Amino acid sequence: MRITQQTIFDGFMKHINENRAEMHDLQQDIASGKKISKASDDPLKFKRARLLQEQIREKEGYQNRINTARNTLDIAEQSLQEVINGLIEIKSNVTRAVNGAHDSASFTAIKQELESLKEELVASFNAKDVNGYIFGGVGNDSQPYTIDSNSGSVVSNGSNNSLSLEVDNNLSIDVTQDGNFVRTTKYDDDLASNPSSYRSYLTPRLLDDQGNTATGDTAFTSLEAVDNYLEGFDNLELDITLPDGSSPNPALVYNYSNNDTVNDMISAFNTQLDPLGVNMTFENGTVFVKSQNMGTNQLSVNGFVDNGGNVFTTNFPAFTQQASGEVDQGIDLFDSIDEAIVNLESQNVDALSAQIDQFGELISHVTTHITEIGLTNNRLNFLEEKHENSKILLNAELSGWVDTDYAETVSKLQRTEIAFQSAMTIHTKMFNESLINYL
Amino acid sequence: MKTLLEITKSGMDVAQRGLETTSNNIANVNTEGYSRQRLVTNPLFSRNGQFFDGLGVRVTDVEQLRDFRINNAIYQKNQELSYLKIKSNTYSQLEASFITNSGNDLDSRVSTFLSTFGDLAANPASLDIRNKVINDAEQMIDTFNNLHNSISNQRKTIAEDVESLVGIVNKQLNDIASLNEQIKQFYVNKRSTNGLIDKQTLKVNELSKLLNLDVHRTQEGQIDLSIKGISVLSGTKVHELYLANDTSSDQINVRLTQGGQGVDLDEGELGAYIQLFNNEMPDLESDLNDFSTQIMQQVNNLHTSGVGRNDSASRSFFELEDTNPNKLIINQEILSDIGNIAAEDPNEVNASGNGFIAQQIADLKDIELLNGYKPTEFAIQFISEPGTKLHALQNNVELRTSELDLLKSQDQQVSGVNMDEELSKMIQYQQAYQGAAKIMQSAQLMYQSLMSILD
Repeated sequence: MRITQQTIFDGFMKHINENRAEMHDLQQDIASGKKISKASDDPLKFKRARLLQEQIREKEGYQNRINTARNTLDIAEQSLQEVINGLIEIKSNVTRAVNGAHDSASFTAIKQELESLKEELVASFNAKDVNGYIFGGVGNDSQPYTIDSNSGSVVSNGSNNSLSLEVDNNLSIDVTQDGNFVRTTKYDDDLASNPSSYRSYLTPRLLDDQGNTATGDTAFTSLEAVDNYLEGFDNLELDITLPDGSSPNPALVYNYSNNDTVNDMISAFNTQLDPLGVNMTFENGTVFVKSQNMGTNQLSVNGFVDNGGNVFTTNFPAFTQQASGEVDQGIDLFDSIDEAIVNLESQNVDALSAQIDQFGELISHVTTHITEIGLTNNRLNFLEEKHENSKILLNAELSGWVDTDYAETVSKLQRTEIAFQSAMTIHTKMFNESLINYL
Repeated sequence: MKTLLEITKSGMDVAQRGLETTSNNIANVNTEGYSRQRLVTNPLFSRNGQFFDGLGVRVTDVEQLRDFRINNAIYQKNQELSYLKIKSNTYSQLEASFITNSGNDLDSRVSTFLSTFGDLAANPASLDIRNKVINDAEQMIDTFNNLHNSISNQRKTIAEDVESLVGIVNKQLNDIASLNEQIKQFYVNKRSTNGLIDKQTLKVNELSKLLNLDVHRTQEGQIDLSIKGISVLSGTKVHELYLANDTSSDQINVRLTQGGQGVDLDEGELGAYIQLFNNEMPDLESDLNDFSTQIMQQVNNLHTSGVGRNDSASRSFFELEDTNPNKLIINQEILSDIGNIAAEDPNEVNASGNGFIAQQIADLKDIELLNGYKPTEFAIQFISEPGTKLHALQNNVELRTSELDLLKSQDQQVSGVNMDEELSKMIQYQQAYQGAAKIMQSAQLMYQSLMSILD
């Protein structure tokens, strides 16, 4: 093979250029700290890296919202703590009135104290964060709790919708609360909006393995418990008498299939109940069957009918007819204070004495809400930590894809440098070797 | 005796011609396109009875060492390689404007824009967040516009480049035609065409980088050129080309000036440019348009179903600019009052001031927007497109470069000048000259001896 000077020169230039290009790339990697900075470096790795960055941004978004939610919940917790402090003071004042007040001056003093405490409590119920009133539902611009100037009673103007924040993929939590649930120990949304509605309800009970009612009146407290129980059914007929005295025709039947939840049962019944103006719900361990705007006509829920056609009422497995009629709404915080103020005015010590327990119950009721907020806060902390951990892992993965491995790159650079220097040395040597030197 | 002097003289002549050839080779060692030359000699003799008596030597030719098959293979590789290089360069420039070191590219802009709506859902009354929505939307629109501009600028540059390249092609064709003319004349006059062939080969080599050519060489050394069966040079007759711009379809193509027949260019720099201009750039543009249109429609669908903080009017968030139907702008009513950003769903009862619409807009991040891709995924796919093409092209460029290097090295093996070889030849011819001179000296001595007898 004839090798000309040009061949040697071309070969040398080709390799020296390749070496230079490689050194340039390595130098860039080291200087920028990134081995993948554009798609042409490695399209797959680049896309993967950008997707990881997107996931990291998503987690950061959740973290930001969690922080917003936590701030709101912190303010809510603080406000409820103030409510409890107020209630404790009211309770001790009422107790003082019952035990120690003997003249009208001291009754008046305590009454005035209660009036000012009432105003403070209203202020706590009107707590705000950047989004608006925390106990007023979503996006209210006006104070959700005001004292009616005529009657002096506290009026709720808020909405019952919560501001819900997405804190994880498809997971939203409510950060604002409907203050009415705090204000009243057994608040019922539907009754509040439809005072004339009437409801009948059944309390589900636990059964033992043999299907017998467990001793005591242990109500189901969770959907899971009812779900477990429903496993035993093939089909279930709901027996009700409508306000006009008639029974639904056709009968209300629900065919249970495996893995159905109580919500499935309720929605199956509701499809059939809806045309009758009746609605079924499951709230806090109780199955409610409600009818709206029935006036004094009663809707009665007789119970469920099992496979054999037996109607279960009082001893119906799992569901016992508990009551028909108006529902107990519990104690209202502001009404109780108003009542105490009236009692102080009339110096009715007996009535005041009966109210001491009421305030005790209110304190424990508000404490439950604080606990719930605490639980939500814990959950948010857990989620925040989860997002932070994911971010660390994602960043680590991202770094593995795109960041320069310095040890590897520097050793590559050294290798290329040696190759480059050798090429230079050998080339100058070879190029000098010619017949001219021997002529 | 006379014959002896003649033979010696012919030997000295040939050695001198040999030295000339060698010296010419050495002089042109670095001349591009030069093919080394060799002396072709033949012995002279006369018939004497039954013997042939030698009468010396004569130069019959100065031949050029060249393999036209290798040249043709180089032309072919030139077409392929320059096609790939132009595409690489174009995509590399596009990639530089699609992907920045800061990472604030289309993917992050779209993602941030949607995510800010998520923040707005969490805080529908906040003016800061409403301002950020506008700011992020503007940045996203800017990014869309920049991408549009870089594609359309690239197309504009390509159109200009094609125009000037067609001019260069015509000039080269005319140059080769006039070389053909000279070669023909030299051939007829039996003069050496070596230098002209070198020039001609160099010209065709240059031309082959620009477009796909079929090269045919005639016996006289002329070159005919055609593109997919359409002749562009036949002997001395040139069929010039011109750039036809079809504004209605926004396409360019190259045609013969006479007759207007279209030539199919699919290799070389011109082939690459035409394909980029007619197909690949418009594809990128339409992907980008589809994407921005989808974002606009999806956001607007939700936005129009919501209400702002001031009134219950239904407003779109994005609009298209009147003068440029591909350019997004923000609804003027929203720009003049950020309260008009619709975060609230008016159909939710007891929930005035809610952020449900904002949340739904934020949730667009998870819908399959185009070809099964979520918005950010599509954006990543889109901005990676030039880089992905470039990556594949770079591998091909490397491969073709190696192949071309190999062919060039093969060409060098045949046509290249080797200094050592030429220097050895120099010694060879020098010694032949000295040898002949020595015989001349001896012959002179012989003459002198003979003459001295006569004295």
